[in-house]
Formats: sequence, structure tokens, C-alpha cells
Amino acid sequence: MLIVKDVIKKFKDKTVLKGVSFEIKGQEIVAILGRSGGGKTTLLRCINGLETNEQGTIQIGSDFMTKEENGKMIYANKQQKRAFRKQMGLVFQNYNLFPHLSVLENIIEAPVYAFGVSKDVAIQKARKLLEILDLADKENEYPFQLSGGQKQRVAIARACALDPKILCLDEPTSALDPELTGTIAQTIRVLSEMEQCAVVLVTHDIPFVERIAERVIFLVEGEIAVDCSKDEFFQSTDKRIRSFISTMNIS
Amino acid sequence: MFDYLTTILPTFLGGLKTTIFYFIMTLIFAIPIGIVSALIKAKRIPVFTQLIGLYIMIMRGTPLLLQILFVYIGLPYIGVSFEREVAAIIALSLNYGAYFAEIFRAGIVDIDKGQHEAADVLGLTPFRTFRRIILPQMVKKVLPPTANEVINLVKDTALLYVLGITELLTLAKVTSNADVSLLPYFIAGVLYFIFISLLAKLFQKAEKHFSYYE
Repeated sequence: MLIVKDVIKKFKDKTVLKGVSFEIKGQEIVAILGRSGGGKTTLLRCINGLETNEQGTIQIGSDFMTKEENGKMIYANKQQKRAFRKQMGLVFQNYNLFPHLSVLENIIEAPVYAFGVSKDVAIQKARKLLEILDLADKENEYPFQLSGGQKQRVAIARACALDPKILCLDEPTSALDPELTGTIAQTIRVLSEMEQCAVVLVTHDIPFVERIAERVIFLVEGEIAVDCSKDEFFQSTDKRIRSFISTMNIS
Repeated sequence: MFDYLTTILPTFLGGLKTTIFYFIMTLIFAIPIGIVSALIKAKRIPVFTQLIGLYIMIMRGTPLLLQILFVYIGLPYIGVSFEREVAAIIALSLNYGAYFAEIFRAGIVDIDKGQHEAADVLGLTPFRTFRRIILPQMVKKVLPPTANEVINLVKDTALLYVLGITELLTLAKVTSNADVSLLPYFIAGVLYFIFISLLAKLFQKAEKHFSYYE
């Protein structure tokens, strides 16, 4: 489904992604792990078109952000970008909810005003999502009235409102109380099943990955060091993995 | 005394009308000047940004009184001359446009980059993003400082006396001299106060309208 191939991203003369390739299929839950500065957030931002990669392909089916054909880079135009983005949902680390819009307005803004879904249909879908996310009584509240965990779930609902094929979450546990980590893992799993979407999470929260992920992509200095199942990852004897796990568990 | 009041009040209301006329005309031009300048500066459009920067520096760095005189008396030396009414509006608009520009620019820049990014990944068009996401948040932020400037403008119209425009304060001075009384100044003060109180009330209402979120 999502194909990422030979993606290279530079900031000035520093190469942050050095030819990253992977594929995401079906409804798998994939954790992109790595130390800070390892390029994982940049990778997520490239996939969502917030950064432009200098080389490589990022595509879902016939829709793409960037494409390399016969050694030539093709960048999506506005319409192609929108078509691609419709299939992706992104939950930002700090959520970026629109503070002046109610919970419901936050969720239906894109379907109604960017993709021409009728308001009734969009509201119906939004209410269904709010139900799953345990926010059914919050639709008329404003973001400042919500707790951190609730804001995050609104952001998840907003990202899911367009029926994405892939739901991306940037550091979903970084701003949460530890006891909420289990809840959000459960929620993400339920949502992935109901919405039939794959989930890509960028994180360095090892216990969270153990709880939720099916597959781990381990990024070291802009390259994929390991791409394997969760169990393989945690049982691995690879030095880099062992040292990463132990330092992360201490902090 | 009551008789005196009733005889001069109509004249003073005329003076207030003149003040309000220049006040409104200035806002009509200064606000768009401020918005356009702010957008150019916020988007860092080369050359234009530097020009706007220079314009703002000059407007803030010299007395408004001097600017009014410059437009009316100075510009004719290079062959550009205006009627005094037009010169007054030009000078006030350019001056206030510069102050508005800085206020609005701060309002735009102050909005988190994440708001743009969220709108972007959701597929909203740039126009929809500005109108629905950025603008309402910006208006909320700039309302209090804008209110300050707008109230200053009411009082700054008094500087138009240098062009011989009989706005409220000039009228008070003339009447005071003729009638050998301080009462005209007092009346002018009360009229300014009432008008500015109404403006303040209006801004308060606007701020309240936006206070439903944080």
C-alpha cells in the first residue's frame, strides 16, 4: 500500500535520511523507533508532505507525493498532493487542534470544506469516531476545556475523519501520563480494526512499542538498521538494538 | 450658562463631526495599508519587505505633526500638492498604517506554525486556511493593541489644526479665545470622552465575542 523507496532528505549539507525504503501493508501497526536526531520525525513529515525529500518515491497506489522515474524526480502538484493526503491521517505530537473551533468543527472541517463531503455525513462519521474514542459528550467543547489525553483523541478523530488508509502518530505518548499509555494503545488498536487502516507511530517509548506494535523499523542515523517483527526486535542480540533498548528503558 | 451651552453646542457637534470624519477616513485607508504591509513582512517577500521596513521606521521615527506638514507643505516642492483635507487623510493613514502593520504582523507571526501544518495535512486550501483558521485567531490576538491605536487616532486628529482644519479641539480654542471662557475646552473634553468611551465599549464587545476560547 504505502511505498517508501530510496528517500533522501537533506537539511542544508546535513543528510538526515540516507535512502530509506519500506512498505506498509494492510492494517499492520508499525513503530518507527530511533534516537532523537535519528531522522524518524523527518521521515514521518516527508511521508505527510510537510518536508520535501530530494530523492525517492513516496506513494500509495497511483497517488504519490514524490516519485522517481528513470532517475528523474516528479513532485505531486496541488491536486495530486490532496489526493495523497486524503489517504493519510496525521496526529501531531502537540496535536495542533484549532483552538477556536469546537471538537465537532475540528473534525468535520476537512471532510466538509476540503473534500466536499456533505455536512450530515461528516457529522455522522465524527460522532461515530467520538463514540469509539470515549468523547461522545464533548462534541461542543473547545480544545482548552479538554485534558491532554482528550485533546489527543480529538486529534486522532480529526485524522480519521477522512477514512485514511494510514494513520500516523508522532510521539503519541510523549505528553501523556504513563497510566494513559495503555489506554491509548488499546484505543489505537480498536480504531485500526474498525477503520481498517494501518498505523505508523514514531516513538522512543519502548514499553509502548512492546504493547502495541506488530513490526518495528529501527532508524539509526538516517538509515533503516532493522526492519522486523516486534518479537524479533525485542529478542534480537544486535548490539545497537540492545544498547538502544537499555538506554531508553533507563530514561 | 445653560443658554450659552445651547448656543455653542451645535457648533461643537459640527466640530465632533469633522473629527469623526477624519477618524473614519483614516481607518478606511490605514487598516488595509496595515494588513498588506503586515502580510508582506510576515511572508518576507524580498525587496518589498525592506521597503516596508523603511516606511515603518520613518513613520514611527518622526513626529506625526511633522509628517502632516511634510505632506501638505513639503511635497509641493517636488511638484506633488494636495488639498488640505486630502493631505490630512494621507498623512494620518500612512502614519497609522505603519503602526497597524506592526500590530498585525505580530498577530500573524504569533500563530503557531502547527496551525498551518495541521490545515495543510488536512487538505485545506491556502485561502480556506487563512480565512477559517488563521484570520479568526489573528483578530482575537490583535484586538487589544488595535483598540489602543484606534483611540489614539481620535486624539491625534487634533493635530490637524496645523492645516487649519477646524476639528473639535481647534474649535474649542477659537471659541475660548472669542468668548474669553474656559468652558469650550471643557465641552470639547467631554465630547472626546463620550466618543472614546463608545469606541472602547465597542472593542470590549468585540473582545468578548472572541473570548469563548483560549
